[in-house]
Amino acid sequence: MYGSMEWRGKSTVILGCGNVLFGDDGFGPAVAETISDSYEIPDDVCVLSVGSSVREVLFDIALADERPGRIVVVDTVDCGRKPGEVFPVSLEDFPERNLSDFSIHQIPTTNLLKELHDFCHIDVVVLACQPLTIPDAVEPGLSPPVQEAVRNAGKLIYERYLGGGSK
Amino acid sequence: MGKTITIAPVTRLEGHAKVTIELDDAGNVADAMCQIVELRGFEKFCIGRPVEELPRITTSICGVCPWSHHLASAKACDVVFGVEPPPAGRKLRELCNAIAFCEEHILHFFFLAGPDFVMGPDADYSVRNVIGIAQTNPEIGKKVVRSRWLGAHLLHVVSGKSIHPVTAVPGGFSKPLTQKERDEILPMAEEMLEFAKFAISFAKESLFPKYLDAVKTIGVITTGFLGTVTDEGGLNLYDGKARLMKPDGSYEEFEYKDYTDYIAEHIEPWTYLKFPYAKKWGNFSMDLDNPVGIYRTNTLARINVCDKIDTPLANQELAEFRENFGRPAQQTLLYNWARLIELLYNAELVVQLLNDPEITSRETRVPVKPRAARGVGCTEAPRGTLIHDYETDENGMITDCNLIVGTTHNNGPINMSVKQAATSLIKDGKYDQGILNRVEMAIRAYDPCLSCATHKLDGTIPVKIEIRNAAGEVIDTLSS
Repeated sequence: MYGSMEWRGKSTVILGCGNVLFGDDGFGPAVAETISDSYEIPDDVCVLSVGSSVREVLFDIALADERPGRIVVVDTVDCGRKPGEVFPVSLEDFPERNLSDFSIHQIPTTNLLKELHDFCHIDVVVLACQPLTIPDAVEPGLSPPVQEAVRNAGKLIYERYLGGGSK
Repeated sequence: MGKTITIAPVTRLEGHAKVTIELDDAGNVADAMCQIVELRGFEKFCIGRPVEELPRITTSICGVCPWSHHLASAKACDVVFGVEPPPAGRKLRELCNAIAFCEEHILHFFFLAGPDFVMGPDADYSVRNVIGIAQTNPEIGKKVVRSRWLGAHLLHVVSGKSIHPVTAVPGGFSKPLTQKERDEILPMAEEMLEFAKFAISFAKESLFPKYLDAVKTIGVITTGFLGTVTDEGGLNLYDGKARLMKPDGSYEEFEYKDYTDYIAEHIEPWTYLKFPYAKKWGNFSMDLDNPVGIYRTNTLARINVCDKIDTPLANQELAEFRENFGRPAQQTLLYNWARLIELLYNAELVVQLLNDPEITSRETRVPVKPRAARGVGCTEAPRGTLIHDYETDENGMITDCNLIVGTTHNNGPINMSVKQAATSLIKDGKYDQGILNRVEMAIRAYDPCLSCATHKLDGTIPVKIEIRNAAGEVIDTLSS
């Protein structure tokens, strides 16, 4: 996983988002690493562990001539579900009036994702994991249920978006 | 009965901020505050870790300017280990810093602050965004993306990674640049320089003149400035000495290791984020008419404190800037103009460094041995002076750690600019979305990197304003 422009020329881009320094917020990067380590990635798919740099990637995609057809954002979203539960979140579930009512550990750049969907006609998929805890202070490490969820999410993404074989 | 207007979060910044504007009974601004949440626990997390791990770990603090943390940390490690990188190692670090600055300044000017100028501050939120810019100015959008791709590719070739860099190590740089790689990327660097020249010409001809009144009035405060200069007084973003300039233009200089002799930190009860101030100038005060100890960092500060710029085109721009606005220039929105001068400087520097024969030397690092020591590493991050201060025991394990990030330096000035903007724009209880966006413009000009503080990046949430009476009841709401 190299630079922030590695998505160019790919039809599907999978972005592992979150800060590994803050407990379960490291879910997205852990999923990206699991996919890269465990599965054969097709030539037209790009898997990036973008940490907390996702906005830079999304900005560039928004302005690019040739954009991917699908973006899969993998991140922690606190929706009050069972810790470790992996679930898709529709962009429509983020009505603007409610955005600031979500936990501050919500997925990043929701408005930009909507712009990519509405104006750039990109299929934007948000795959979320319910965290057990995201600390207020620096404390790396995933909780056991989220650690378990990393494997499940990796398998789910492999089955739905990669379609390749195990390494 | 007085009212309170709350703007939270501020849009298009790198993280979260909350603005609260309190109105008096006549509907005029009684007070205004900008609250930024502090990154907590990082220093404690570092204690007990091998110091050589920090250049790699600190890149996770901020997803927007990881190179600045990476390099400041590596420089602090150099001092802890008592070594100096060989010339090629130092130049490769400086090269990466300059490329990262180009990427960052392009992002900020065209995507974050730019919409205010390109689309206008009164434009509806639905077009005052990235797609709005792209649809209104498709050719500019293409150039911006091409230039950012060039920057990412340059960093990829020089360092192997651009998102979470690992190549600056204690004692130097871990990956020499080959002649072949240099020959491959030099034309790209020259293309990036052409874009930098276009960007400042475009802004001076087509954008800034339309908003010169706003530049002269919004968020204008009088402060001192802090930046880094060479021994000859030239602008430098990687290394040098600190120059702390008073509002009257006089200044003193110090080595960054002595920063605690010159900078103290004030605390306010309504925010966790501290307020650094110049301790020799008196007790801290954010009074708009009589501020004390307040200094600013970031682009305008650096452009103000330097005597010259050591690349020809940027130096010409500096002279023109000073002819127009004097020295030190105080208008807050000039941060954007200064940002484009720095973009040009960095683009020139990248070409200059790649043409330096020493850049392809294989001698890029020296060995290090752990020891008990203190090391202060400083770089100019896009958002201001960045200080990493480490202490280690005899095994090289961290025993104490302190970071001051660029945005923190500007905490006091940001609050002053918000108050100034709100006071000048909101009269008799009358305000609208355009006025509130102008208040936000004063913040955006500083390019605050709030993800250093909050670790989350949802800066694109629409602005939400609550108007409360003195009893705390919501009597009106407004959102974009």
